[in-house]
Parts: sequence; C-alpha cells; structure tokens
Amino acid sequence: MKSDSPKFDLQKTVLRVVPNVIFTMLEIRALPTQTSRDPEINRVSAIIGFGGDTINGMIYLHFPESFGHVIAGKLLDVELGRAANDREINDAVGELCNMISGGLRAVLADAGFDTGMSPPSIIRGKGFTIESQPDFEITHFHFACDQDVLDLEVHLKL
Amino acid sequence: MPHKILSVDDSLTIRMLVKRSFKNFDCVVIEACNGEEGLAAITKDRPDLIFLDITMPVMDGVTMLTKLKENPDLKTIPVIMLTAESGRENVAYIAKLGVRDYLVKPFKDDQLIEKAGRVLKLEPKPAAV
Repeated sequence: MKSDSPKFDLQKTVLRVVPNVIFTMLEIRALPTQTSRDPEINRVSAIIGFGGDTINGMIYLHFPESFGHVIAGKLLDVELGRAANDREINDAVGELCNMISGGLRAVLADAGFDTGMSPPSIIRGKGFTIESQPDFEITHFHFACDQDVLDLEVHLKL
Repeated sequence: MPHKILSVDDSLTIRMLVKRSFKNFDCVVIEACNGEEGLAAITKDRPDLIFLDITMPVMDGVTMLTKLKENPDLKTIPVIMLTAESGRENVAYIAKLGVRDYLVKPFKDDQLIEKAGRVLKLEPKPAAV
C-alpha cells in the first residue's frame, strides 16, 4: 500500500457498494441484516477472483434461486416477455457480482492495491460452504432485499 | 438513416440493457461479445458510437480500443467505456487511449442516453406506417 494512500475499509466499502449496485440496477433496497440465508434452499452463487502484487481475493455473491429469477426478470424480462432461463439468470447474477467487485476493486486501487480480475463463474446448489486457504481473511455480509437475503463473502489475503 | 450503436460486452444482460435504453430512438443496436467480435462488427457495420466493456474473454476492451485507434479509417468512431473498472489509474490510462466518455457500472438507462446524446443527435423512432 502506498504510504499516502487512504486506508481500505472493507466494511464501509461493502455497505456502500452493494446497496448502490442493487438499487441502481434493480430498484430494490438492500439493507444490512444479521440474518444469513437458509443454507437448505437452492441458491445461485457468482464468484469473481482478483489479484495483484500484494493482494489476492475472491468475492462470492449468493442469491436464493428465486431471487435470481427476480433479478433476471427485472433486467431482461421487458425485452424477452417470458420467464428467464438458467443461462440468463447466471449472466444477470454474474454481472451484478462484476459490478460489486468493480466497486471494491476501485477502492482497493485508490488505496494502492492494483488488481486484475477474473470473469464471473457460477455455482448452483444448496447446503455448500466455501473454504479458502488458512491465510485468507473471510468476511461475511448479509443484506435483506424485499423478501430475500443476499449474502456476500469477501476472502482477502494481504 | 438510424444511428448504429455497437455494444461490446460479454454480458448478455448489459447488451440487453443497452438495446432497451435506445428502443424508443431511431437507432439500431449491434451486439458483440468480445473485442475480436467488436472489431469485426466495426469493419462490417461502421457504427456511429461504441459502448465498450474492458474485462472480456478472447480480446479485452483495452486491446480492442488500442487496435481501433491504430486504424486510420476507424479511429474517429467515438467510444464510450461502459465498465465496472473505476480505479483512478485505470481510468486515466484508458482516457489516454482516446475515449469520448467513461460510464462506470452500475448505470441507469438515462445515463446511457445522456452520454450517447452528447455524441449523436438522438431522434425518436419514426412511427410505423
């Protein structure tokens, strides 16, 4: 990190970036909550990796599958006039993760951590957990979005 | 003649949003999934404006932009970056390559229209006869 760079505040950044992305793209308020998702419901998870000279990380964005339909519907249905299919849901969820990742990486870059990133990947299923190497710091965030809960995991190694 | 707008983005969602934004204007939106497809579409269709993402498979937006600017016949086509990349140094580097504007995702339809309206004279779509 550059000595004259502002300190990277993950908590503050996530609490600003996630509601901004969700409201701008979906007109849904994402409110921080302590309640996490029910692990036994089907979910769609987008993953983006990023890395630079002195930092590596992964961002995992988890939506209930039902909310994936809402997202794709809001972003695509007007044009399609039908329910979104899995590919379209994956694309919409991946793009939201891309925007959130972009917001975090911009703050990291301004704090002196330049990073490149991977395109989003998607995992679907239920009851799974994600583990990183022991030297990664993992932070969980939960947001209430209408009737659903969006979960964000940030895995960081500085 | 309708304006031709090229959307170069690997995300179907973004290409759809660009298309939807201009559906009430006298514009045709052409789509490309990466920089390589984008360059092919530029050569074939000669768009009046390009919305360009950065992180894409096959060929990224910076490589496509660099190649576009190297071509004397095509380098004057205005490019607006539409990307999640917003670190100050990234933006400064891309600005040096010669882009007309830079819009950071997330975005609203109005912002796309406003940015395009600075480059093109947007007219409402003519009523069907």
